[in-house]
Amino acid sequence: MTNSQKQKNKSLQWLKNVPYFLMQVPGLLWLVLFHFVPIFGLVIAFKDYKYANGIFGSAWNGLDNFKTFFSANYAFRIFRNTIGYNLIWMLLVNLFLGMLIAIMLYEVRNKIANKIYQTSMLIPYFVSYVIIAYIGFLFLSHDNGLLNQLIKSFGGKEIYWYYEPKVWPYILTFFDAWKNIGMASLYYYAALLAIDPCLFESASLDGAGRLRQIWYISVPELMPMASVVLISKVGGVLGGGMDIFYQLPMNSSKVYETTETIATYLFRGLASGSISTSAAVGFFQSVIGVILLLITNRIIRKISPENAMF
Amino acid sequence: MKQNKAYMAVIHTIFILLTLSFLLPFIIIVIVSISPESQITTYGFQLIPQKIDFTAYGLVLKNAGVLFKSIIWTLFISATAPALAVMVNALMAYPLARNDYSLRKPVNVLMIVSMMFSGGLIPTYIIYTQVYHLGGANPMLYWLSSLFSVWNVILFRTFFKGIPAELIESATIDGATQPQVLFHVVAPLSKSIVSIQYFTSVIARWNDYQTSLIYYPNNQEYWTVQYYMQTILQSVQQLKASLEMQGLRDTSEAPVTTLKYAMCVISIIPVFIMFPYVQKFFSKGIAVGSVKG
Repeated sequence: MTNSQKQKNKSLQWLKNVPYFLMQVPGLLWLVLFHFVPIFGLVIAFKDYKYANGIFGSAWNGLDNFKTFFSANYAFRIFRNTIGYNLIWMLLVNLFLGMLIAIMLYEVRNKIANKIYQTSMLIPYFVSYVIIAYIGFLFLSHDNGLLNQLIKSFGGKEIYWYYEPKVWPYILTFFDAWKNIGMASLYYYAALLAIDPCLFESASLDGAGRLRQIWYISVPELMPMASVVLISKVGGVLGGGMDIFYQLPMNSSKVYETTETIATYLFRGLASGSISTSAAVGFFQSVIGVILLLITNRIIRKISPENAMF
Repeated sequence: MKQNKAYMAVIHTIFILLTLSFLLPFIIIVIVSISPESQITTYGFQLIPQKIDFTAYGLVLKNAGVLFKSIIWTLFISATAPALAVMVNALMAYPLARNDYSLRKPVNVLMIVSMMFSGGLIPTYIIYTQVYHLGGANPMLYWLSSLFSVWNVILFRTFFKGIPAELIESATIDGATQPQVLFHVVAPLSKSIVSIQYFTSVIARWNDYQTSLIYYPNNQEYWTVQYYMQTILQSVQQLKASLEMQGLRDTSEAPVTTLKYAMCVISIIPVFIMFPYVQKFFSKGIAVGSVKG
């Protein structure tokens, strides 16, 4: 083959890329315009942002925004709530309960029962957090709620749930588990279905009981899925959505002590116009989030390299 | 064997209790919505209605200008936005699943980087509204903000990788161009993943309140159902105001609570209609079985 032919072949090879690339243009454009460009907006964390002056026109103010936030008395509680809730829920719901329910569901061999259990668990997952707030209100409403009726019927004194910060860690945890357990367990259930049944059969021939089989076969086989779940959730430990924290307490300012997280703080900052301070918090949050993700990935790569994300 | 029976009985008992806990709240919502308002104001929410009373539904049907407007608006978004998104995501994913695409590596890196770094709420809001002039009077964000998702691209990519390479090669040898391969060979095989992605996004769009809350709080024209529901739950004034707007003079007698829950029932109906369909895919593991790319 002559040189020019080789060249021609190479350019033909490259031509093959053109239709592929064209397919990706909409996605790539979106990524650049709607994801990467806003990252540059982070500079307002170091500026005294005024709508009228715009991003470039606003004056730099160094680390003032960070100082303003961290010297505020609510800074600690916001971080405590964010990390506390998201970390505990990740471990409790997404790892422990998810695995437990999946293992239990795997034991249910009756097809109809299995289907009913699995289906009902998934319903709350597909319902919006606004509806969750309506459901919460059924139980917690001060005048009409089912819980206060129950308390009163036992002669107790009614509780003003939406004014009482102490009860919210339990309420939020309960509803998070209630809403997400179906999906959390589904991942593990799918992994369990992929286990070769021969493993269980030979174990039971060797005289291992159900619990023993679960402990020595199912649990270890679920670990790869657990690490995938862990890595997909760990970045959210400092972020997480605002959904449950904003909707379930119906934005009641009396319970901010135990319900305010970074996400709700950012939204309220946006709504009240303290843009720069909120941007500074967001900046801090993303930096820590990336570090957490990198650490987790590194740990998982040490333990089981094939499950690391990168 | 006996021990085994006790063991299964425990498991079934736990699951039956769980199942009840997942279903009861929805049943109570329906019961409240058909109870007489007077019963609720006197006794609180109750599991058994004194009599079945459709006043709230009548009021919704008669005066529900804002609710129906937001339902139609949200249905429109929910049907169209996911269709666009599925197209964009699938087109992004397909080349990434082909070994003969030279830009696979850099695009993959770009996507992973985008998962790690993002502007966050405030900078994104500022860029979208101040630089792109979206939000407020421009409803395009309902389509744009959910147009692309790295997670869904990864699911598509995994699926496409599972399609036998021989199938594509033989079509290419027969002279099919890349787009022809995509539309005539790959697309027919991808019906399950396309519909699962479409319907889960439809539900996500239907449940969306944040876009309205963040970008359109002052523009009632563009409120989604869920955001409208949120405003009436959080403030009775809002509910009464929208009733007055529709010509109901005396709102002091309005069945405020049952009305809220009647709207709640109406707004869940579409989710319950689509749920069995989506659930089928989920339980087969199509939606989650191939999490890792």
